Amino acid sequence: MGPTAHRRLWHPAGVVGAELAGADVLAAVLAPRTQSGRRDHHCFLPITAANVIFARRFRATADAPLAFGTNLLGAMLGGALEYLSLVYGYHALLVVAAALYIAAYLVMPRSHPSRALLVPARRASRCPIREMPRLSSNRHVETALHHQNPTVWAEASCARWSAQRSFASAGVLAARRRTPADLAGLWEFPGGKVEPGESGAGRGRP
Amino acid sequence: MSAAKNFGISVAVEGRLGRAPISEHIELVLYAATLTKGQPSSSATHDLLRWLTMDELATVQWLEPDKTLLKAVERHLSEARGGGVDVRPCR
Repeated sequence: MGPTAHRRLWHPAGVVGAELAGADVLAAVLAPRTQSGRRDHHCFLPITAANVIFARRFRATADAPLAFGTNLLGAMLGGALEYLSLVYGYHALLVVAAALYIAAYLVMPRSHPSRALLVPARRASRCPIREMPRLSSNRHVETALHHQNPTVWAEASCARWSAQRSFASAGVLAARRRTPADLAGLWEFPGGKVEPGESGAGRGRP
Repeated sequence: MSAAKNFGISVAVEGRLGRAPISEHIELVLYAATLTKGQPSSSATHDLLRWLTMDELATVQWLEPDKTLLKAVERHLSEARGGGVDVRPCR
């Protein structure tokens, strides 16, 4: 775990949890009282906004139980801050809530790098032209190109091979089973059964 | 290919990494592949998808047949890592 676990303590869902509680307070503080002493409905807009943010961030998370856990911690922190406002006053609480929003915005991860299923095992310095899948689905076009200018064909193939390589990074996709009950929670390499009429490895391979 | 069909992605198959019996009638055949289109995001039979690095491989609890192929996956990943990303023109 190490650095990964440390980073996950600051999971966005957790921060948003604090945000939620903060928004709760914000709404209560900002709500203008009417003559009858009741508060206007639109003052709960911050709570709605916080819920929308939470839903969006939660959808992007990879580990739901962990996100819920950290969210709970965040909600507790928010609650504590809310009660502490009895000591330091409602106006200071506004500043705290604003700070939480800014912090949540700053730590929000913005990009999810794409990764390859598994990286190719070929030697780095050699372009395996003969092992490449066909460049074009049109066999005649490709054969003609190959005969006319083998170098162009080879370079085009190499370019495609390089593009694939540069796309790849060392990662393996793993999937956790939902069903059946005796396998649920265990991990496997994702895939599926080969149906009649399908080849095992897809097109271009025996 | 089945993975592509079940996850709505396209992959380029690189080669076979190994095989392991699952039952009397079912065999697991593991291929190395790279993503060419799309990102796997959800699956009907799984509740979680994760990208694991070589160091993280042993941190999840694998199904028994898949576990027997981890050595091959590790070897594959370390070879790929050693090779690094190469965009040199190759001739």
